[in-house]
Amino acid sequence: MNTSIRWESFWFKQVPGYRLACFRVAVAATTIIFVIPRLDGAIHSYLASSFHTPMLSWIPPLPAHTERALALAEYAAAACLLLGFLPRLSAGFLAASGLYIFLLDTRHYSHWGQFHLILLALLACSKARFSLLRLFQKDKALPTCEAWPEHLIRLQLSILLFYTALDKVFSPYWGTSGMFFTYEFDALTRRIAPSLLSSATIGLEFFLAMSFLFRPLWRMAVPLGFLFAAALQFFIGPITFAWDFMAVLILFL
Amino acid sequence: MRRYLISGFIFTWLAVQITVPFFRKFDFPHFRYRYATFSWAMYSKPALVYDVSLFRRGKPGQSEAIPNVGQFVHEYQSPQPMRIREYYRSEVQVQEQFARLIRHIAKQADDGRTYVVSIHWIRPLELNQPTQWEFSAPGSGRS
Repeated sequence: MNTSIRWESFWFKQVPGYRLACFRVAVAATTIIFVIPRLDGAIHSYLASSFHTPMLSWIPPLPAHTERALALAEYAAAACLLLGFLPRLSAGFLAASGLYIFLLDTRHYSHWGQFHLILLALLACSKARFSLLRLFQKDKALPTCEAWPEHLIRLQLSILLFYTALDKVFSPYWGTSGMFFTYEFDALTRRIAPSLLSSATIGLEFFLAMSFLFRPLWRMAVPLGFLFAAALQFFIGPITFAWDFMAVLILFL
Repeated sequence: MRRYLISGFIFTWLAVQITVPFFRKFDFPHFRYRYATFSWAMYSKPALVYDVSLFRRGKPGQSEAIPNVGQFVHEYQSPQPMRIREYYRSEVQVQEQFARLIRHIAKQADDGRTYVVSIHWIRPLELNQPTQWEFSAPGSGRS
């Protein structure tokens, strides 16, 4: 089989649409519960301040008195995404408005926010059009869709995990020192050596990054990934990244 | 035609997602590691914790509150120190932002006083890192 045919069959083959639709619902729920309230807080603080440090100097400032209108539009778009009504437009709007808020001030940046916006942007490119009601109908077979959005989202998670593990190898707070755990999880490091926790985290992240690339390893990687996200949720608190991570795991089922 | 466009999109997306974090993380062209935004540096450093004081100096040795400092940045106070926890920015980025803020405030004022930001780093305390940082700008109205 030549490269062109292999490329076509990998990216453009038809796959069941339920995974992408379930992923869309999970991302929409995370957007409503965690992301929009934080964006609203950022907008409120932004409009109440006269000093800003925009990421790009040419970004037009947010006009005054637009806080409620923008929040309302974001909630409406997230609800549409959840229900499956105009999902691509809704995801595109949420990704664009989130990016705009990100760029308004350097204080708005977060790694989890970047990941969430990327997921929304990829949803805007996908055809996860099946409504929430249709997902619950057992009798009717769901339509299929092209595989490339699913592949891109899975690869995105692998890239993220690879770079976050690489960062920890070079960071003076991780590596074999485990200083991060001493700072952030003092109670935990009284029981387990911080260097061990640090090395285990880096190893797990590298393993997940690599194993998400190879289908035969998914059966081991998905439960491990779920435990990893659950541990983040347990030790750090309710965080958007853990929910987004679990949402992406739906695509490996 | 559609498939060519999508293939181009996939290729560009992956190229950007692979190269941008690498060059953000390993300061090009020196290839020295640094903490950077847009590089997937999740939890790679502990939260910065610091006390920051914003005030102005009138007569020598006298510190005064900066009037209406909350209108410059929402919920900021003066002259009492504010405890801030920072997750996503480095020490240098925090210092740059406060230096810009104090220059901005000084520029608005035309009173001849000196506007000061003072940061006391609480954690993390790395080797050879001073625990105190201060920056001042004259409120001449011209700077």
